[in-house]
Amino acid sequence: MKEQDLTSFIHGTRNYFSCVMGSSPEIGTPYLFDCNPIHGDFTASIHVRGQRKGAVFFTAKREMIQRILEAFGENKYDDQLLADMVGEIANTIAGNARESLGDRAVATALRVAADLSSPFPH
Amino acid sequence: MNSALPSPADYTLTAPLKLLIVDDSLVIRRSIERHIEKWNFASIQTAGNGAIAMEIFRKEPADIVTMDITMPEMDGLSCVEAMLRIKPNVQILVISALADKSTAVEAVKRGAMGFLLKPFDAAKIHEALQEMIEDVV
Repeated sequence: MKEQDLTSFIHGTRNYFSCVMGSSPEIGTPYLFDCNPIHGDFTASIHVRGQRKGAVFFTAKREMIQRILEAFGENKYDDQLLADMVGEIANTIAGNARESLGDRAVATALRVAADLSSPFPH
Repeated sequence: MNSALPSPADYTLTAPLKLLIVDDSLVIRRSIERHIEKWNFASIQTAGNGAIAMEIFRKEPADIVTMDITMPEMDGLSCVEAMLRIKPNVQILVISALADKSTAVEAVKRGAMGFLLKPFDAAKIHEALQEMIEDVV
């Protein structure tokens, strides 16, 4: 993927949080992260297919997803609902990215990071 | 927002309408339900995929349907067509994150009456549903 492709996802993420939470997130500088799964984190992946392949991962801590669920009016936070929320966020960001990427952006695998004993499917 | 429409807090249905909410996300289904829970729908049913939605719709055709597009079992656009064959005057609001124009065009071509892009806020879902209701009553 090229930097231009990533812009669609950054824009989609900003738009999502602005609409749902009422404030736009700060976008920081990317850095390499120790990939050991962190207990309690939830991750959903968006796969990009076509000539330029790649993947974008949306990962959030349990507390952050709980805050988002609160914004949707939820007051119970079981793992199923947290995973549903993360999947919906990834689906929405992927769907919004189709405005510029066409049907190359597909939100697919959803895994709870605590269960990440095997890598994401490619 | 259309100023001709009453504010959501004041909104009450003047006819006993039935609503069906179709979305594979439980959070979204419950969120839409919460947004309109005081509107006095005669019934509100929900479905997590197109196949379940069709089962419900065959037994009890709703007057208004909110329809996601990307779902397991049966996608939303196929659902729109199938529902219109059963009840030609059903009002279907497609609610999807798919932002390419062709998706919205295709939804309308298949018979949807409206298209709402995710993510949406309370004002947008209220406005879109109120417009659907105005067309039914």
